[in-house]
Amino acid sequence: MEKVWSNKKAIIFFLFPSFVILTLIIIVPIIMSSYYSLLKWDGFGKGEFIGLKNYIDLFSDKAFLMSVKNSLIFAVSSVFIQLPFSLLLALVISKGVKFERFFVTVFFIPVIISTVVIGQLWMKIYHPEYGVLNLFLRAVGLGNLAKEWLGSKETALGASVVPVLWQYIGYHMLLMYAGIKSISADVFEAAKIDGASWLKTSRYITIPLLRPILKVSLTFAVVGSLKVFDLVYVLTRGGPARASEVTSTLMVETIFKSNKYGYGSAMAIFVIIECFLLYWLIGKMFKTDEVV
Amino acid sequence: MKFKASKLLCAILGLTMIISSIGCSGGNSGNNVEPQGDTQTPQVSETDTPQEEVELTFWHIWGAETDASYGAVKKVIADFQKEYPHIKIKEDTTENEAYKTKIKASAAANELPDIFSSWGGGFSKPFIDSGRVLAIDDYLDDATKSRMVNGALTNVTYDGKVYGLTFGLSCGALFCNKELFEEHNLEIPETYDELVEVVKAFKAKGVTPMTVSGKDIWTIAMYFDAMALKSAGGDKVTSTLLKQGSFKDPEFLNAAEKFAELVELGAFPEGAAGLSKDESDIPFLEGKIPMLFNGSWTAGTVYRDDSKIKDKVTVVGFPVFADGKGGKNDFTGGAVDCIMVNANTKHKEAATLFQQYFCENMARETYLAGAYLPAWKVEVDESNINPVTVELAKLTSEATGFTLWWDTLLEGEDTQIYLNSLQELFLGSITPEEFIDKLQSMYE
Repeated sequence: MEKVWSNKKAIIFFLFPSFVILTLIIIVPIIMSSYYSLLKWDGFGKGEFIGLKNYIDLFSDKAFLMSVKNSLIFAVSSVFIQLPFSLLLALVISKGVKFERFFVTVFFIPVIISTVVIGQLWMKIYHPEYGVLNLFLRAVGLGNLAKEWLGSKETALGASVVPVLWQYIGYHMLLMYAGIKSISADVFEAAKIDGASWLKTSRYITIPLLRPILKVSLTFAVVGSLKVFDLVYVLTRGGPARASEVTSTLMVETIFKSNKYGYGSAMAIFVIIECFLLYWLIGKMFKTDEVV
Repeated sequence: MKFKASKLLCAILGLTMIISSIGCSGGNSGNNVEPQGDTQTPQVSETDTPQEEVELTFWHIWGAETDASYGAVKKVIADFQKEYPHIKIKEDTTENEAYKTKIKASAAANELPDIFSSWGGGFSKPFIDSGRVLAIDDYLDDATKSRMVNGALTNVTYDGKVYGLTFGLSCGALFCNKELFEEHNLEIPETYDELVEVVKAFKAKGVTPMTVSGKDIWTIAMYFDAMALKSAGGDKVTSTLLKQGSFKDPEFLNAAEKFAELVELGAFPEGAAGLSKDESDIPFLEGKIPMLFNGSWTAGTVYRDDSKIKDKVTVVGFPVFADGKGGKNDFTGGAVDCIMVNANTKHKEAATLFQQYFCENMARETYLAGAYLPAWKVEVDESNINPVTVELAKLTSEATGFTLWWDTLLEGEDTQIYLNSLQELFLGSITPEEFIDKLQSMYE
């Protein structure tokens, strides 16, 4: 095996295909989008070079700022609601409850189901007339709380955040569960001998040792929220009146419906930069933690 | 040995990746055009052709057997070949969206076929401006024109010249559940005031009067397009949308106010803003909501397997406004799908002959197939056609004119301005005045 690793030609030979694919489907499109984002272009014919005007316009575009705000709401609720919930589930299940595997599977099911199916499911839950949610509220005498969940400007964003959080709780739970399972049993045994309760074990042993996984989960949760598209598109199409518009849905509308390729590309580049920035911040946060 | 085997495996995997990536790029760059026409061209007796042999290429979009017009196209071309054996039609079909790209590219490169299917209005304008399409006025006699319905040429006429022929049309109409109207002793409304009364009456009895999907905004636009038409009249709407006028004219505000009034009265279902088109159609199909204003294709939906309102539906145009300029027989929609002839074709006579033959017969065949309302005056046995479609055809045969749907006539960005502000008006988050201001921003 040593021989193979020292053979530069072999390394190049084997890495070349994936390098080419990565370049073709990720790097080249990013570079092209960056170029398009400097154009005023309708997608046909020739674009007109306008420099950074698209970016300047972005920051005075109410719809865009609103969509960024909404994406950030997705990210924040994902970090502060979804992840703690996943962590709690992972801790409880890995503690060795009955039917451990069964629960892991059940919580993971929403991740496997197609987003469109989940969207349809939640649309039925939210349906103003026969939706389970309103029927339940009416049945327990809280009929005045029944709302047009997806149809009113006040609730549409919240109503689309919930399914997204719900869908991926199982995903983060599985990551953390696997992480906990890979922690050496000796550590837990030692804690047990010292008389640490489950809560204390979790607080002082499991969670600190889980830090690398938490970083991964946090990154996925934040970047995933900033890129969220499918569920929002199925549930509300970003409406009503942009109340639940996120950057990706706005971008698709800008490019493919309004035919503003340049302006839409600028949004795409903004999302890429935003994701990298937050990824870098998360990395930094965890690094300084380690020093302490 | 084991080590060698794994090395070999790696090499094979590596090669597979390279080959597959090469394969992919090859597939993408080649603009594959499948000549499907050849195999399906019907047999022609070539022995007794006194005239010169002519071959015409015909590009169109009806190549998929699932298309409602597929059979009609095949039949019309086969009939044409029987009647004119010396003109050979060579078909080439492409799927609708890909076709749009292909035809634009071919027009830009001046490589259009002799005959091709296209769309009227904004879509074909660039081709006509660059002189790629034959103006067919010299080939169209009045007898032929008189066999078309009013408005059949509206969307294919540019600067007073006709550049294409249409065969089928679609229009907006108010679908009413007769049974529900009778049950509540109400008349189907013909004027806006009557509509308001009907809405109030249904509301008073706990029936939601009309359905719409606020999520698929074009369904709201169906209503507003019709209301703007009844308020301002066809010519004014068209010229304003083409930016030769102003949305600030009182007619548009009138339409917006009336639309807001309907919303205010609770004419549409609660929570409609969150419903998709399919969801909002259901109560209508179940016979719970008496009225739906949408495109003529709704006739097909009414006779869907799970529909409970078969044979209970009648259609009328949108109720007229007492203070409006649009008449009873002014409709939204129109004939958009068309056939055009290349300006540089070598066989202008043969191509226009085929164009007219094709469109006139397509009008009949696609009507029989239930795909379009006929844009020509056709005589067919209507007993086998969807009765609502027949009723619609009668309605449109008296049409004084058609005004294209706003989202078809407007360009991409303006369409979005229109749809998004209409949704806000529907939600009541902007006033009719603010709505008009937003529309006017298209002019900036």
